[in-house]
Amino acid sequence: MNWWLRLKHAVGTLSGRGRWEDEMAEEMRFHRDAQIEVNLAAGMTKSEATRSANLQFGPLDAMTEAGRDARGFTWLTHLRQDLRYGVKMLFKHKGFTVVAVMTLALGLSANITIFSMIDIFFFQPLEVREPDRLVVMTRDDPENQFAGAISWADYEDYRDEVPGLEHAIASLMRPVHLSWPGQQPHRTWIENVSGNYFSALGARPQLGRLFLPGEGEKPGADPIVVLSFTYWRDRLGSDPSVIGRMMAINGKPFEVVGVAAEKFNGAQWGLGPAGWVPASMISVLYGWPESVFTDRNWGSFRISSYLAPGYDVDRVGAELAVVDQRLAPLHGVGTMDGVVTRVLPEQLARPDPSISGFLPLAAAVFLALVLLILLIACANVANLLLARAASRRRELGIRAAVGASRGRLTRQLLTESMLLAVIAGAVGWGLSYVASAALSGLSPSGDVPLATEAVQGSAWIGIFAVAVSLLAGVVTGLLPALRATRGDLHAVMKAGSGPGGGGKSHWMRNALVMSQITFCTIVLIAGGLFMRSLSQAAEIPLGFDPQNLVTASLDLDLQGYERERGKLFLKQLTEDLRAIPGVASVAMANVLPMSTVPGLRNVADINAPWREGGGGRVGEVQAASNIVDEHFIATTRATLLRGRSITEQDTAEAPPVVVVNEALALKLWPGLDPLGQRLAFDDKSLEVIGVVSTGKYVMISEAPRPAFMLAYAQSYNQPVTLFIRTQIDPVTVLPEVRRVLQRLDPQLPIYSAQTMEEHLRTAAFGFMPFRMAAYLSGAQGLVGLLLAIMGVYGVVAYSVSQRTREIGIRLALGAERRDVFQLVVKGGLRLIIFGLGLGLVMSLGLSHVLAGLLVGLDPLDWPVFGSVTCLLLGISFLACYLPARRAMAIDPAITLKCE
Amino acid sequence: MSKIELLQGTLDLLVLRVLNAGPMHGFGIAQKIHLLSSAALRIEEGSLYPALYRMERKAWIVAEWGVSDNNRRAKFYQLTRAGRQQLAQEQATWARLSSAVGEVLAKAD
Repeated sequence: MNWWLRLKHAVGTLSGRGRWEDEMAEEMRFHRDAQIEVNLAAGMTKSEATRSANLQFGPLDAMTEAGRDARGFTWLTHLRQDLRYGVKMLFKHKGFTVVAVMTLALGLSANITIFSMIDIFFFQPLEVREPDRLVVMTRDDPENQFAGAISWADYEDYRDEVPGLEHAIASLMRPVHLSWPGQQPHRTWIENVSGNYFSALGARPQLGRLFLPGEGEKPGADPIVVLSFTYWRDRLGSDPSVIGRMMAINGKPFEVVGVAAEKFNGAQWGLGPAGWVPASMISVLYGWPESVFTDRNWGSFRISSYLAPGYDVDRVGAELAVVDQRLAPLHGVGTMDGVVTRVLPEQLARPDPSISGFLPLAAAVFLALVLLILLIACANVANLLLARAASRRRELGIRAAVGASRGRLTRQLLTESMLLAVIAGAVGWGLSYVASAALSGLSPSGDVPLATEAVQGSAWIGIFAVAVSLLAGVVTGLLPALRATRGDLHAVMKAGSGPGGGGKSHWMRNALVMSQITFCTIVLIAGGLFMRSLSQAAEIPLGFDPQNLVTASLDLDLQGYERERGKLFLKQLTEDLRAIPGVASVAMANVLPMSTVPGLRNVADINAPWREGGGGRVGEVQAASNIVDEHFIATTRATLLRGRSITEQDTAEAPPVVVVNEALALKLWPGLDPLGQRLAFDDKSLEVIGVVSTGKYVMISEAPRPAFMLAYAQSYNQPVTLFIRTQIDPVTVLPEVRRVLQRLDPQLPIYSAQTMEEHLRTAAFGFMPFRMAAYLSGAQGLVGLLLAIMGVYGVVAYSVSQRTREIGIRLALGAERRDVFQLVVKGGLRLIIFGLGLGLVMSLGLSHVLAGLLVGLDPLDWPVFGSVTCLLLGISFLACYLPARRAMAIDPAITLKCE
Repeated sequence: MSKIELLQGTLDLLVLRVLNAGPMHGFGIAQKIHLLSSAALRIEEGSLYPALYRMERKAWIVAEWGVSDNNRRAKFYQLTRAGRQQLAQEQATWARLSSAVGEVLAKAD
């Protein structure tokens, strides 16, 4: 009852301001008239009665104000007045408004841009049922970085035996060749998923149907495919008659049963497969033995699941550990030692659980940097406001004289800065669109399809933008507002437009500039360190020479070539490629380095004993594998340290050989001569014939990784990546390469056809993250520098304009112009050096954090610290120099007469 | 006319008490307090109306437009249940206060 009346009252006040004031006036009129009547009845004359009633009433305005106060919600009326007044002031001082808005907009747009990226990575929900209950399973194996994938047999046990997992699903992303009747096949990626995939994720079909219960359970029984909406729209022109049509995946007939709903991209963030087939078809599709469904160590599947009600990730982890105890012996003795299976919330497992720890740290660093930039911008505008507040004291004095309280005036000034910030937020939002468009050119390339369309911002960005704008408004406006309304405002009226702030506000302005320089130093050092890490990464020995190298990949197995035809095709192909003018040599390999297919295998010395119960040998080492032809080492210019390269004599009939890298040799045969040793791989025994220097295989930033190369003639495999060394600009050779391939087999899809340098630059495991970080932080550094320099210039110039009279007197009393110059520049530089010193010290902390993020970075990188110091000193000297010149030009005669 | 300054907070009590008899407009309230106090108390409009609005905000009273004795539109105030509770409370407090003050005055010598 009570709260209801209050609410009604509040709504009445809000909605009917004007009406309420009319009502109040009418009530007062009634009261006065009634009083007059009473007075008349008491025997007064008419004029006497009126006069007495009026007198009794007093001034009506004060009465209205008091009534309004009593009614509450005065702040709302005030806010409206303040807003109207604020808009008027902003319009009146257009120059100030534009500078302040643009300054804040720069800072805000940097924040909004970074937050949009963070939003995409961390907050964007998957288009599935209850995305916040979805978890991803991963395994931490101290010996294997990429152990997260899980075998089908383990999946079935977890699904059936862990009560905390509800609707556990398995999926495996693989490249395939898709072909439609009468059309060339093309290469794309599909997901091989458990039969419950769609029902578990709550997916709906756009067209046709999804998997039915019972489908996808018996190996090889259900040749059906559900297409993704994007594929259906882009490849098939949204053809509705596609349902029921037959097509071929890797040459095997499949029936299209449905198209998934528009936004559905599966349970893996960021990826957009062309379609989904039952995982029960993998042995048919890829020619794998049916033991893939029973072999515990054949870990390939990504397991996602919903948490059962009342469960959290820790409780599920405990249950997984119990199941793992039973599973360990089935994996082979020792293989599961130290391995921990656990689940992660999906949003914390992006892009992949095995590298999910990196992103939050990187995000935190970048968010901190842009917040510093925003603080620099805020300090700039706060300085402008401080300077303006001095000239506004007269106006404030007048308002104080007509009865505005200090709180009221502070609120008024704050409203103005909030207004500025909100406008700046809107402008910054627009700028961030431009910045995001520029950044999207930096998204990683590669063979795996990205769900680019799904990558859109959520409502969080809007909320963040508004919040950070309001924050900027308060941060910017609070100090100047409190300063401006301090002291005896009434005195201002008497004293005229007096000097205002005086010494105290000088101190505040100086502190602001100092903190700007401090923040700017930190941002610049971060930018410098990121750029440094990019240039360091560019100097990392790759184990091959990427210049003048062209690559192109193809997969003959997917295309249905049997082995003999494949060998013939490749022989012809390499011959034809060698004939291209400008081509120096051509080689073949199985794995393209730094691509999304790592090709990691376990190897051991041949004498290492087998583990009890299967599961490999004791002392196995995980190594990057490759299968290369006799031209590979020479063509890629890998450094052969010992022994010989693979040659034409290493045929299928000859004894099997292997070339290892230094890291592998050191791991398996420390202190021994690796040449002549035998390497155990699968069921093969390979003789080590050569040792190459250790390069990079999976990621640019990896620690020295063991690797080995088999001879192509001895272990034919697909896919094939061609390495073409050119004598001329590789870009000009690329179209010729395509033409040759086209001529030999017009049906064969080609991928990763690019120069090696381009591949390294854009690959997610190549330089892409380094470039992204360097560009972002470099741009941030520039913005920070620009803002800070504006701040220094503004403050020094302002102090010159304030001290014109003082300088005039000094000059009149015989000071040299050089002394004046020194006076001004010294004042500015003192602030800068303080700020710089503080910034350098704080940067040391930051650089230690960054060193954890950027492998090989020296936290005390003196070239970066040194050049940032010089840059800041130089530019800020300029910013002081210009106003100082103006000070030197002061003519004492004019200045002194002016007053 | 001898005027007595109202003690802080007693205006609310008087208004609530007067309104307890039934709905009344602002002038009526002032008039009635004036008469009941044998013309000793005179409520200023500048205090009366803000007090009324404040009590309205606290939902002790509600206002409604009606017609006065002389057929003019006037705003009538009426007690709510919360207002009646408030009145009871304030009356009790007042009784305690005045008896306490009276006792002190009587026995102080």
